[in-house]
Amino acid sequence: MNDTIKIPASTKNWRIVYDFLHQHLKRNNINHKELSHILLASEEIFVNISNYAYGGKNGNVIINFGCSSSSPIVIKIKFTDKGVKFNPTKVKKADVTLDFKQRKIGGLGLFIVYKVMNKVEYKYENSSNNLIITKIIK
Amino acid sequence: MTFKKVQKGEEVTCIIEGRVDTQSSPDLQIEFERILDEDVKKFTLDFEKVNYLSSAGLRVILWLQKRVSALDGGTVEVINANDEVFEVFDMTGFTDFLPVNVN
Repeated sequence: MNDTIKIPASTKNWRIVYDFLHQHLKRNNINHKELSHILLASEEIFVNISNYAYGGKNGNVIINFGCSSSSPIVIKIKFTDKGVKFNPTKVKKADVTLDFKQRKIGGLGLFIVYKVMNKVEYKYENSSNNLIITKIIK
Repeated sequence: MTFKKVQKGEEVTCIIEGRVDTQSSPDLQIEFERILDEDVKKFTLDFEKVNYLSSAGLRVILWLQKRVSALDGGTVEVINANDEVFEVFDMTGFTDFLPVNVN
């Protein structure tokens, strides 16, 4: 199955995205742990786009949810925006071995995305950033 | 997210309910700031009813940890976390400096 939502890139809209994804994950009988992983990763990406892609101007994010019908279940979520070109797969990950005193506030989002998803792919095409996160559920 | 607190002198138990995410975390930080203004040093965060924690929530907890550790005898601990929430604390290395008790 496949479904798409187009929404203004604003952290205020995260709950709408959450509900959209949650509903599809539930419908596909994804268990609590995997569901939580996928929502976590999606929040980090949606928030990054909302905060940085359009530099304070208005813009949209298109989110496509795809789920395979056969086993293993493969969930792919694609985020597309027309904001500033940005490849998150090139960003240095947070160092999670640091003590709290040495840690900077923030920077954990992408670390979490990589930790909970099986694959993170980036493509720039048609003047758009396309980020696809994949979870394989065996 | 809903927030309740039980305060006794220098100690507070914060009972948090719902999702601690990008939309609710700023409110959580405001609640913590208010409590810090009242010279509280020992924070117990009761996460029994928290069903979702993202990096936005971790950011506020790290902020609290930094503020509280600067106080003489200041401590922060999380109690009653569920498995999914514990996993987030654990994978990000927070359990190395923050006591997290699992429900």
